[in-house]
Amino acid sequence: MQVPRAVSLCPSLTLLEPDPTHYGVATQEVLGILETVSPVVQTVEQQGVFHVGMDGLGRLYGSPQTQVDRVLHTILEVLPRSLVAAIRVGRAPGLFGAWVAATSARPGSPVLVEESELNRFLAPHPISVLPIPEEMPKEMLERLERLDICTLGALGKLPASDLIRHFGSAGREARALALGERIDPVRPLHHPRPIRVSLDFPSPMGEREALHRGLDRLLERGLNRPERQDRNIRGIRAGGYLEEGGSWEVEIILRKPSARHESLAFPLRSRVALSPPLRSVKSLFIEFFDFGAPAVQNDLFQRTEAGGRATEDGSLATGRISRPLKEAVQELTLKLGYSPLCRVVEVEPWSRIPERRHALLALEP
Amino acid sequence: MKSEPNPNIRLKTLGFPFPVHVRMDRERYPVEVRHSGRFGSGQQRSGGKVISIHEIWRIDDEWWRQPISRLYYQVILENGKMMTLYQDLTSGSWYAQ
Repeated sequence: MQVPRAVSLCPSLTLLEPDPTHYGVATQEVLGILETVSPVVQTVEQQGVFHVGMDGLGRLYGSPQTQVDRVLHTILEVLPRSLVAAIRVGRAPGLFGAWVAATSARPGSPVLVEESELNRFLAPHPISVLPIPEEMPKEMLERLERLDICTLGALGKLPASDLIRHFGSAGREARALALGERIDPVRPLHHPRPIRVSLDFPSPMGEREALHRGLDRLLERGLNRPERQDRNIRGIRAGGYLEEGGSWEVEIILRKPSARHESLAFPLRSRVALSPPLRSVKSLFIEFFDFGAPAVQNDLFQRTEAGGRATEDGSLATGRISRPLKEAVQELTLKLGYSPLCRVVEVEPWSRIPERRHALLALEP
Repeated sequence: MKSEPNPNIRLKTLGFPFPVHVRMDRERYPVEVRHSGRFGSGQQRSGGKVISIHEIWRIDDEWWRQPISRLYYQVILENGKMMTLYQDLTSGSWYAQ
């Protein structure tokens, strides 16, 4: 629900600013404590959803209900009792089944589904519970609802071939989920090794500008470290040792992981401005401790610069090419002896023979 | 046959057809696609059973020199992928494009 609509419906509403740093810390605490119950835990980012793999732990913890009680009791160590009492719990085979079970549960009344009952349990639920990520285009759900196929049961009754014809592999996946045939296991959490870089000052630094310059330099060094392996950075810890003893440390969790210097430097500077070191700093360090997916070089094919395609004036070989792409092609040409990149050009776009309509022209900036 | 980039050729064809083996039913519709093992660079290599034929169209052209006569099928394979096939009606050979 949008904020203006929520406020209009409830004028006494109290709005809280999002606090991703706090969410990140709380998520790590919950994950850490859940790992004492099962070695296989997983979280859905920023959604407060935790999956705990209980396969093979029945003999250790007992019946499904006892397993759920054990998990909730463990979370009490890091969350207050009132918050634990508000948790909705579902236990079912696979991530999707457990998610649907949890969303249909009430706080304090876990929904437990056995494998033999999964198909029957899922059938009455609306298709909107299907996961929306890239493999499940949202239009698919809208089209199904327009055809009055509103429940997982109705979706499961459709022939697989029809769904594949209309929605491709997403249709097949949706049907398998709806029927309870696809059981996705919980994947164990991967703890990436942090990347740490440090800098010793010749004499203690107390000026804010000098501190910022030091942080910038460390960010650059950290981003250039080969063990980053093109991953985006999500969590940064910065700190240092202070003059006359003691230390100082700040931490940020980025809402959107990034590998761009400016995207990391700005929030880090803001955080440092809020919690500056109390005394001059003798040494500085930066630690990348949480990572996102590998970075993508979006700036190679800029839409504003004709995207590497031919320009309308017919200058096929000399159409505008973005500077980063031009540099990349020049480097590759030097290394290989020829340009391995091509652009699509029109040859006979009116031709009825498909292979005669377009061709690839070596890109030689 | 592996296709390596040739530095001397600046213009390369795009969407060039490559030969495939196609099993047909009694009505001569494709029911299974298998690759013949010869690919160009970057060409799609999926194959398998045809679960549905999405569209059929025919191209007849250039009758005045080297006649081109193709019957195209846009098919959906069992793995959910869409594939465009055609049968060269002058030679009877099948290609994927």
